[in-house]
Amino acid sequence: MIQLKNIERSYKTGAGQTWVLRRINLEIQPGEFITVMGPSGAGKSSLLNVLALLDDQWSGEFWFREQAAHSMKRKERAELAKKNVGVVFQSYHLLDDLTVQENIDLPLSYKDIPRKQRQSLVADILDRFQIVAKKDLYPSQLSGGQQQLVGIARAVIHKPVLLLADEPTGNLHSTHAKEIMELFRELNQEGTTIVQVTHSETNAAYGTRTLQLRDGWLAGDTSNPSLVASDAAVTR
Amino acid sequence: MPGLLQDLRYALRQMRKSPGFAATAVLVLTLGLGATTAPEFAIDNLSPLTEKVQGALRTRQLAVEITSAFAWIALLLSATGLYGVLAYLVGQRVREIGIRLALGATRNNVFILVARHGLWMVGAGLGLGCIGALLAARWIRSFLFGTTTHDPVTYVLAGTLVLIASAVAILLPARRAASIEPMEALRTE
Repeated sequence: MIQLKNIERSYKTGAGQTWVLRRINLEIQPGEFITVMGPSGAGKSSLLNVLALLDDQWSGEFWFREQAAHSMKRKERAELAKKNVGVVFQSYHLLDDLTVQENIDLPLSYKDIPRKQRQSLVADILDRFQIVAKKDLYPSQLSGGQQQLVGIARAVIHKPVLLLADEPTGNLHSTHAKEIMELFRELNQEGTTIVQVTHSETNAAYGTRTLQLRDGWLAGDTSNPSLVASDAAVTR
Repeated sequence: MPGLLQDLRYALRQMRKSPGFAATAVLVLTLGLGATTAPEFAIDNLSPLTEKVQGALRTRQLAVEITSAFAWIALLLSATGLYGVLAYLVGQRVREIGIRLALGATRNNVFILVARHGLWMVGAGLGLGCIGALLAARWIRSFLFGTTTHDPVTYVLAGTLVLIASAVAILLPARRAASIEPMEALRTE
């Protein structure tokens, strides 16, 4: 589904150029549940931003369902992301002045979907996530776990093929974290490809494949044990 | 009296001696006397009629000029104020804009979001301004010439001018909002 070839990303700093991603080669198959791990500053979130097509300052080749994202214009990439990608954030990123149902409706409002159909889709997802009773509440009236539930509902309402989650349980109590991870597993079993970033081994266990990042390099991949021997050698 | 006759005879004798000088002296004295004894016939302060009219209207013109200057200052202040408010608003909503962009909003959607907010403010301002102008019109009625206090053309022209100035004031913050990088914005807490 996704092919990354020699993806690199750097930032210009006062001291020169800081590399956050180095020659990332990665293939993601449909239906995978990938966990990206590594210490802080390893490039996990940067990789997620590239996959989410939120960042367009990288170099290399990025193939998304046989489409060359690397040769697309910014607008085309945004369109590709809008259709195919859902993102869940660690700090939920709900809009404070919108109710739960308005927050969930937000991605649909940027699509060419009639209002009635949108309302029906929102009602379905509220029902599925068992948050119908919360639909008229504002994010500040919800617990962290409930807010993340809304965040996930918002991310999957347009049925994306790829769901990206940046430390989705990072701010949650372990009980809520377990519920959220169970939900991810369920979505994955229904066919959604998931890439999550986490520091938690427990959360990683929900995945089918784990990637290790070190200083921007892909240093480990459970589906490709030879990676460490070949690519990591380049880093030295 | 005999002295006076003697003086007169002496003068006439002298005039006969030098007639050229005498003629010049008589002419100068005649003109001098004429000028001093009949000043209403002197034409020494010629000026065009328009200048006279302008002089008569100077006070009113000054009042109009001062009012116009205040109107331009008010227009400039309102445009600056609108720009300031919108720029502040965009600064406050960076995170929200980042979220919207990450959830599928296009740059145009964001531009419209901010511009719409600005236009609401302009609309409210124009509405209140029109009501204020209608109420205050009676105070400037005496200064008006060639128009009335309820002249629709004046209202439309003034409103258009405000809209143009506001459009410029809205454009910059709206463009800034549309150029926000979602990745950077999402880091803003």
